[in-house]
Amino acid sequence: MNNVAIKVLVVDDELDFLETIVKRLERRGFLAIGVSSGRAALDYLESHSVDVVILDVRMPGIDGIDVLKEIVTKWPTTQVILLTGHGSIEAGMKGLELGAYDYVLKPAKLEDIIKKINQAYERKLILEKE
Amino acid sequence: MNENSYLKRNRQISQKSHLKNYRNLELPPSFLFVWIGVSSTLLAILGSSCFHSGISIVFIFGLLISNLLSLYGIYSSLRFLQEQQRQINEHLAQSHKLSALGEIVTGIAHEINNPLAIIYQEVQWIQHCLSSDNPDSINEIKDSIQEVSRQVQRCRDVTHKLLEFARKRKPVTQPANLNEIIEEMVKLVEFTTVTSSPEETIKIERFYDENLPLIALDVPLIKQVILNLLINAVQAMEGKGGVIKVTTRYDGKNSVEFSVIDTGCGIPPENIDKIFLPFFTTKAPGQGTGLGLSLSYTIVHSMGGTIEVESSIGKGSQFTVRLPLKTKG
Ligand SMILES: Nc1ncnc2c1ncn2[C@@H]1O[C@H](COP(=O)(O)OP(=O)(O)O)[C@@H](O)[C@H]1O
Ligand SMILES: [Mg+2]
Repeated sequence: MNNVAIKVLVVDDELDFLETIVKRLERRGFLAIGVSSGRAALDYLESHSVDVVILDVRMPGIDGIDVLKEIVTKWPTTQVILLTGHGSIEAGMKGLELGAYDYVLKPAKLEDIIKKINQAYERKLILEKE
Repeated sequence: MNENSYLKRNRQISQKSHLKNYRNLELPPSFLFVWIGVSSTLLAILGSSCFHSGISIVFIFGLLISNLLSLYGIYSSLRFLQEQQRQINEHLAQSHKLSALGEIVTGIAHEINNPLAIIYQEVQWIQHCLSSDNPDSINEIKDSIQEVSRQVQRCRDVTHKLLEFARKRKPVTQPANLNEIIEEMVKLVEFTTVTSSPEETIKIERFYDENLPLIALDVPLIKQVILNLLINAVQAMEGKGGVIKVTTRYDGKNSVEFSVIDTGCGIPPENIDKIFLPFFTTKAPGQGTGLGLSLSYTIVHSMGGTIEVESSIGKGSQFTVRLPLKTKG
């Protein structure tokens, strides 16, 4: 339908997870980039346009929630999907309140993540049209 | 639960009590017309029967005029009463709003005051540490500063939520499968409520309408509503276990609804009018901020929908959200 690849930025300090998910997303036709810290993510966003950010909540340094706040204010059409450790329903809730598109529990199924990326991208397009 | 719609009953009670203040309603000047009309008709009838003069044109004409007069009188009296009723309603709405405002302000003060008190204490402690020569005091100061920044964060969260509340974001809707979204939230809650002891187990039963069409939803917003209702239902069990029923239903025409029904503690009638107010909570600090339902209310209404509650103490509560298929832009 759309021949433009969706640009996805994955942010996670667990390098194994980061590598595999970036590879698998690329194989599914996404333009995926991985970075391993909140700081690196914000730096990347300063100079590149991104459609959807997959963001780990718990990271050393600037944590996911703070990164989310910054993304929401600086790049309001960029959609954020949070990755949260199991059981942290509060973190997920807080994320939604702060403007995340959605959140997934770790370990997440690739199919679930892809579905959410597509929905989030759809929302971004709607927002940009307005 | 149907036998007790506290909401309605409560409304009636408060309306009645307000009406008492309006006992001495003045009669409108137009009532004079009614009086003249009725009495002249009576006089005409009395006169014609006393003097056996038969029915003359003049008599019929007089009767007509007097009846028209009284009709007009009745009409304008009704208008007058209507106007009074309108004023009473306005007054009622105003006083509701005022007490709501009071409630909100108290809530904010409470939410901000607690962290402020802690900050004050910590700062005093820092001052104390600074003036002592104890080599350990630098660690104490570090601890205190950490606590202060935690509490500042707490305050910021409150103000953030307030701003969010005031901002009334316009929903961004996209076609979505409500059953799927609800199931996702239910799974999440189920996941976090697993316990080993059977008497604390919360069972979640699903009754999804398979004919539910796709509807235009703001996905992150509706998820907040569903989560809030589910979390409240879990908290209403007060650690005792119970059953939460989640249902969806399509009316076959232009709206869908979903309900979250719990077997928890229920809501006392005196609280039912307040639960949708921001900062109204009966929970301990840390358990609830009292913003869940008010946020949900705002979200649902921004999508052109409604949210209703029925509750019975000791038996449980039912929250029902109704959404139009097409959201009004
Ligand atoms: N399912 C429920 N059963 C009983 N009481 C409820 C339920 N849902 C809400 N309430 C009441 O409404 C109040 C406000 O709810 P809410 O706005 O979600 O704030 P919070 O949950 O943070 O207290 C609660 O404190 C509780 O007294
Ligand atoms: Mg709540």
